[in-house]
Amino acid sequence: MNFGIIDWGIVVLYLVCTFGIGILAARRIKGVADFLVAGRKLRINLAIASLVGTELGLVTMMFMAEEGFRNGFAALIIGVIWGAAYIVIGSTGFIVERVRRLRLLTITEFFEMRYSRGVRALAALLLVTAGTLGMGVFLKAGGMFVVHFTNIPEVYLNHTMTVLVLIVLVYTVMGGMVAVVITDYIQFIILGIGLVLATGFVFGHMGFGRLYDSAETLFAATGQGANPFSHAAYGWWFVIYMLIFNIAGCALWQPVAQRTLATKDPGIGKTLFRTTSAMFFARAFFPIMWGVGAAVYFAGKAEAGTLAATPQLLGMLLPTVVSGLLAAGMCAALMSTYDSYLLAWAGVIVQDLVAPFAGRSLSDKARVRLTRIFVLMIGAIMLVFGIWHQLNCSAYRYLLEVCTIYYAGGLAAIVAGLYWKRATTFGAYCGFILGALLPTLYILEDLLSQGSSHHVRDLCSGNVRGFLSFVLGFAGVGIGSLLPIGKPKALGYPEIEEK
Amino acid sequence: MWKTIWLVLLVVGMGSFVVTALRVSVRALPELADLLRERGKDEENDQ
Repeated sequence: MNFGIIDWGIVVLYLVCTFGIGILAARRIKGVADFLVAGRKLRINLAIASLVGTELGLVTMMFMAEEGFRNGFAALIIGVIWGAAYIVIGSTGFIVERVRRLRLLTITEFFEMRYSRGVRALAALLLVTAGTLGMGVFLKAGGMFVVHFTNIPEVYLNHTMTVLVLIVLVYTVMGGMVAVVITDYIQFIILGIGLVLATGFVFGHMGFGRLYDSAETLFAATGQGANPFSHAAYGWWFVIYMLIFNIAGCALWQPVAQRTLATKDPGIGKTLFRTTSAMFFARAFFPIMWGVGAAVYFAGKAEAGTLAATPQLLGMLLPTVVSGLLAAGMCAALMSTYDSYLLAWAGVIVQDLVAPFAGRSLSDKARVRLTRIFVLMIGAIMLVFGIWHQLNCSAYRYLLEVCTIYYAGGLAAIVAGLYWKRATTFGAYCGFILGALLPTLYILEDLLSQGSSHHVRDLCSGNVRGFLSFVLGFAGVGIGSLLPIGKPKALGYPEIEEK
Repeated sequence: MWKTIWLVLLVVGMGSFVVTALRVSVRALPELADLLRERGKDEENDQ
């Protein structure tokens, strides 16, 4: 391990600067629009840096690396699909362009505009549930990286995570979205440099040709090659499921949507997606290559677990200063993801679950205060869940399931709401409930049985289950809307210009 | 075949990232300065 005093110095310096920025940004908060969407003043390059800074999270790195470690080069298909989804959205403006014109603070606001307050509340509940469940995994993955990369004794894993969460809570509560934008920008730069250097060292140590051939030999032993379409973990079902899933993510995932909602105009939103598609290719490609490198280096054996293998490899290969830079970037990525997600979920709770039912009596100041309180509460839940929950599948698979809880019904409801005049409130309810059914059953079984029960898992593969969830979501909205229960609300939004 | 496909995609994907990251980093700096300056003006107006 090369992680020494200088590297720690780099990490501590970064954390101190980040903390300082949060304190300074706290003075500039005006109201809830400021707090949640930076006053809608983000221009394109800052929006890109902020989006990538948030989405280029440590957790993403870790679970992409784990996929590379488990599945070899075939895992690169994930990056291809991600980038493709962003290109589709960026080229067509599908969903995002119309949503931006509505001047919303959260995506779930749309569901009240188009359907009813009840649909909004249901959507918000599913979104926050999915988001909070996912964040427990974030903490675990982040902790594994810090411990195995810096060679901290594993007994201090929980202490380390607690400290990082506390730092994030302070500057998120104080600074809101302005602090997030500034720190995302800095993190974008540091992590970008760290990514390129780390990948350079992995390739420099192994060489692409040798890495590929060794991986082929290693994974051939289990009958899995570099072809993702014939790979047991992926295949055509995965490609279809993931394309729909990632399109849903562009429209519905609050941290992504918040950047769209924060842009100066809808045109910038489309450009944002087109330009960041390259980032989303790389978001998978870099860490997957590290994971493949770790699989080859350790001959597929992961004594500390498949999540730990890649940070262990990087800890061995990277020299001093480069390690510090990557660690600072990764800590920054970890905190950037945490702060954006904490803000996203707290914002949804206040704006979509509390405010609509509290009436007009909830002032802007009160909303900001409540958002800060919920940030703290979600942080506490995240910490407890992250320490307690044991993963019984890969981190990536777990996150796909929790996100599908919301995405399956959400995509159907938002597409129908924007593009189909006949979509009704009852249809939206059906879509959300049916879409959430299969992944919820899977997660409940996993949580309650701690992985010992497999009834839901054995019904079909995860990819088929995911695809079916979207089918059920759309079927629910479609059939529910066609039934003579309730009438559709008119699409009379003044901000939308019909083409 | 897949070796070539992945190599090409890796070069394109990683190369695009580096180029875009450099371009965005440089161009975002004045935007960040503007954002903070606008907020500074808002504060002065309030006072």
